[in-house]
Amino acid sequence: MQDPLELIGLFCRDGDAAAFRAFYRAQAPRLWKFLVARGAAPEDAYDLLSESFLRFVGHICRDPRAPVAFLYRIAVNLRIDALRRARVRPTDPLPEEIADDTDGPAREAAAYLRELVGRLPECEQNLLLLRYWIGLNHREMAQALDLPEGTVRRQCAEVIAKLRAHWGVDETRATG
Amino acid sequence: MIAPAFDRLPAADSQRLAAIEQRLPARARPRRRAIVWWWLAAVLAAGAASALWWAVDYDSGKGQEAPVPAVMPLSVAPSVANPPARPRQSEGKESKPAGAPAPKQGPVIYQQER
Repeated sequence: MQDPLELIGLFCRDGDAAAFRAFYRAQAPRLWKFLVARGAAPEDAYDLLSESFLRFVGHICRDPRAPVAFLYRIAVNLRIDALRRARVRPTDPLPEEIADDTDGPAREAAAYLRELVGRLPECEQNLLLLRYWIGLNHREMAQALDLPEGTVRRQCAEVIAKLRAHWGVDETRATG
Repeated sequence: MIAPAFDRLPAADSQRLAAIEQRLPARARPRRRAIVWWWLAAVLAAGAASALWWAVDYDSGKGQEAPVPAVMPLSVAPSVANPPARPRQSEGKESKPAGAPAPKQGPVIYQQER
């Protein structure tokens, strides 16, 4: 898989449509999962993904230095707008039909972790998922979330500590 | 541990994603920065062309001016043409401050001169 920065560079510099298609195919499935994980209904996630890429195409060439962060910034903002319009709580549980399709203890642990993440405030969920799932670095996250880089570093550490504390407390409750 | 937990979520429908891909525009909008540079270049080119046009016009019209006469005709009397120098009224006097009011000249002085 090619570097997203390189693909978008080709797209903006040379108008290479194939490079943009490659970028889309690399990013779209994960962005859809991210939107679902953030509480969007599957159908709504397709709409949000489509709108995100439309806006992305319209604006990325003005400053194509961090395309993935920019894409997720658009998606996060659109998700927030959709939540405000629908007046739905941001921490809705995952819908039943989209729940994990694997079996065994790994499934339970994963579901438990997703539930813990779902209990966090919306901004902390964004931090956690963008950093440890999508794999953005601190600078890209700062750009995606419109926060100072130092704030992102501090909040990431705090969220991980909070998650560990919840994990420990809930495990002792479950075993005790 | 977070990434595997969320990667376990079922994948998106590839047909839906392909349909979205077909609707996306194939070309990017031109970069605004590039447009700004093009505008700047156009303004500079227009300015240079204008300056060149004025310069050429100035040079071409320089040799066609009417010659200035070397000597002015003296048709007036020398006494009128070169009146004797009169001493300035302010000569030998101290300059007054700017805010001081000017002295009034009454009608008597005007009658004497006539």
